This record gives sequence, structure tokens and C-alpha cells, in this order.
Amino acid sequence: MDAALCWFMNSVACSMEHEAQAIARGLRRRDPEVLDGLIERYQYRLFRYLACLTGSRETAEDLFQETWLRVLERGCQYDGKSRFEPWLFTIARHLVIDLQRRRQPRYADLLDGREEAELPEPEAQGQPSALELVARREEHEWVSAALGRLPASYREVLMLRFQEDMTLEEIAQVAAAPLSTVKSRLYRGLEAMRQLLEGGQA
Amino acid sequence: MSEDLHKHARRLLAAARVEGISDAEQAWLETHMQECAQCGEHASSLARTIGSVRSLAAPLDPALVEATRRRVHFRARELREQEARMHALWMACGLSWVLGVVSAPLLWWALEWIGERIAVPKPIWVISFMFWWIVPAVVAAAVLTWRRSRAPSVNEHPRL
Repeated sequence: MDAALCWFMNSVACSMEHEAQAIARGLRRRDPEVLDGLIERYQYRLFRYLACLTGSRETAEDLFQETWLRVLERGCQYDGKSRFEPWLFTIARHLVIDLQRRRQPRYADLLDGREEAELPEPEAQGQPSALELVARREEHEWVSAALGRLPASYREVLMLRFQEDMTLEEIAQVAAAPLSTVKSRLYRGLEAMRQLLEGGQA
Repeated sequence: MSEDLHKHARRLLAAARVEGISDAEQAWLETHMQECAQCGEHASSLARTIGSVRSLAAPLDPALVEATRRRVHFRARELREQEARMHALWMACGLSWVLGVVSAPLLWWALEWIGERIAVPKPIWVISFMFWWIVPAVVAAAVLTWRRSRAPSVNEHPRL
């Protein structure tokens, strides 16, 4: 049983490696079919990541296009030795940071964790509770709003870990942060999100 | 049960979700959870939170995807054409360099001869010879600079 599982895992890893190399070759050739395939495959995940980081649908739409153009232009830099997703999300993240720097220079380091000390407090009694919000909005919007209250650096790692199922090392690569920082952001972000959601439901 | 045990259990519950825990820690946690309703509720709360994060979606307009595809195809074609032109330019530079090397002795003799005929001091025609050598590089650099200043940046493209 263990041998079969091992064989299966090896073949999956091998197939992923071949796939990454095929993507790298296609990007080096600037092959439109490869790019079409990548857009088709990663469109929702990339857009969700951008929307989460920027908190704005319009900005995410602009950056969505810019990200794929950047993938085309910098495609030769992807070596195919690691998964494509972290590389793609790293490009998207750099574009978000560039945009923040252009728009609001003093908020340029939002993703670098400078606002980490400012975790939101769960809503106090007397303020509109999350239950009331739920009554007015759909749950999805409510969760989005709760996530939006977290610092961008926490939102980012939560999305990458629990939506993209990235490993901690991959998240560290995308966020350009040490592994210990990524873990700390995940723990603090998860607890803050739990308190926001559960505090609201209480 | 001491408060430290609950804290330890909650730390392990989060760690199990974030980075994984050992079998021994998992076994301890399961035993603790059987006896502690409070930590059981915390585990459910954590699971609901992660479930909520996982369930988030951002609806994507198909028109945006189509426009992105068109823009990427347009830019890919533009880059391929640009590469072909650059290839031709480098070929011309290479050829120019080869011809320069081959013709260098002839040019040296010619400049020396002209220098003697019109009584130009040697340093002057030696400098002329060196200048002649850098002309192709100067022309290539000028062409590249001109092309770069004319090339549209990614941001200048209209949104399709």
C-alpha cells in the first residue's frame, strides 16, 4: 500500500515537473497557445488574489491584464524548476506594490507588514453586530468585508495558504519574507479572522 | 484542567492548520479534545473560519479575460517582430565588425598615405583611424536609443 502511494506521489511530482518545464519552454517561445492555456487555467485564482490584495475590483481588473503582459514579457525568467503559481503570484504582487507606490507613496509598504500592529478589534457590543450585517448582506460579502479589515500582509498569506494551498516555503517566496514571518502572519491573521467572524456571530 | 493546557491545545489546533503537527502532538490533542468542550468549540470555530476563507470567490467578467487574451496576443506579436528587427540589427553590427577587422590594415595604409600627402601630423590621422572604428558602434547605439524612445510602453496600450 505504501509502495503504491509512494509510486503515485512520485508520478504526480514527475508530471508536475514536466508540466512546469513545458510552461517554461512555451513562455520562452512566447507561444500564444501556452499563454492562452495559462490564462484559462489561472484566471479565477489570479483575479481572486488580486482582488483580495487590492480590495478593489476595478484595480484588480487592471492589474489582471498587466500581470499577464508581464508574464509574457518576463516569461524567459521562469526556469520551470518550481511550480508556476508562486512565480505568477509574485509578479502580481510586485505589480500591486508598484501601483501602491505610484498612488500613495506613504502606503507603499502595506504588503511588507508595516501595518501589522494595527489588527482590528472584534466589534464591541452596541455597534452593528455581524449578525445584523448578515441579515443585510450575503455571507460571502460579509466574509470579504471581514477579510478586508485585516492588514494586507495577513490577507495575502491567508489567501495563499487556505485558498491556493501553497506550502509555507512557496508563500515565503511570493511574499518575499522569511519563513518565520510568514508563519507569524498566518497565526495572527487566522486568529484575527476567527475573532472577527465569530465575534460577529456571537 | 489548567489554563496552560487549553492554550497549548489551541496553539496546536492552529499549528495543525498552518504548518502541521507531529503524530504525538496529534494524539495528545485528540485526547484533550475528548475531554474539553471549550477547545472543541475553538476547533470548530477555526474550521469555520478557514472554510469561510476557502469559500471566498471573486466573479470574473469573461469580457475581461477575452480582452486580456487579445492584448497578450497583440503584445506577443509586437515582441516577436521587435526581436526579429533586433536580430537583423545585431547581424548588421557583426558583419560591420568583421568588415572593419578585414579592412583595418588597408584603412591604416590609406590614412598614413593621405597624412603624408597633405602633411597631417601622425597623431591626427591615428585619431581619425580610431574614430572610424567606433563609427559602427556609435550608429548602432544611436539606433537603439532612438528605437527605445519610440517603443510604446505596456501602460500606453489602450485597454482593448
